[in-house]
Amino acid sequence: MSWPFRIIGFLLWYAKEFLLANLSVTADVLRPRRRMKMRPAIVAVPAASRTDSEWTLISSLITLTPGTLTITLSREHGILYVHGMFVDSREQLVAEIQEMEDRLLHAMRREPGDLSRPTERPVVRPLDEAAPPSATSERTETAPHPPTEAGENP
Amino acid sequence: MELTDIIEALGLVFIFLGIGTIIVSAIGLFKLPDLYLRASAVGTSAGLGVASIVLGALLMDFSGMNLIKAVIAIIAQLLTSAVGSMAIARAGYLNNALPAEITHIDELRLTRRSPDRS
Repeated sequence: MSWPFRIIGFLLWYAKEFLLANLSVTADVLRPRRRMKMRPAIVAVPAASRTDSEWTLISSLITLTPGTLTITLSREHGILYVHGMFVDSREQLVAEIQEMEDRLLHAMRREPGDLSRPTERPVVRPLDEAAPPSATSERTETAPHPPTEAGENP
Repeated sequence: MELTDIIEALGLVFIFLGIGTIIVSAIGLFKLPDLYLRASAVGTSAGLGVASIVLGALLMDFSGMNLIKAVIAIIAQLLTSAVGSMAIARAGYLNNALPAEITHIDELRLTRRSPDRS
């Protein structure tokens, strides 16, 4: 399929997913408390996005779908941290998110290009404890800024 | 005037659907146990609820100019609600708003320094 049609196809697929997700969240809210089906989880999803616009779009689209919510992402490790409302297993949420990302990237890129994802779990641990504990230092451990920023203020 | 009546009725249906969605998500705000689930529930009203009210209003008063306005309104609403939810969720996590007990996997917890740091 040529490029514009792929975008339209993706939008139609996303609209369908969006409506279904809305229905399932609405149904679960209306259920009595002890019969609720939700099994929330926060899962690290390996992602294939590369550019800023791809990261922005995939995380916005995940958040826009009710029931899934991007909490943060790590560009360095290629990981999206996604909070899901109906997660039976880690693999199920990862498959859902990766299917959406595959479709998005096929629609966005003129050539699908490199869709490889990091396979091993990232080694995420806090930066050295000597750093002053502040909100900004905690931010850098999951979403590090490139070091070039420091060069702007000599 | 058959067609306009049908379109106007359809617009009313969309508006009431949107109102229903918003009411349900307001119920969700009270029923759900933690910040992240509540943010997900609000997502239904911010996305589908507002979009279908705008669509209903467009159907009841259709013109080319209104179509453009409605499309811009829906797109802007979807974008801002998504970005806002993410900012709220991230701020909550950084400020140690822990997920509820029923959260059975939490892989973001690995990035925490210590559980009791405020």
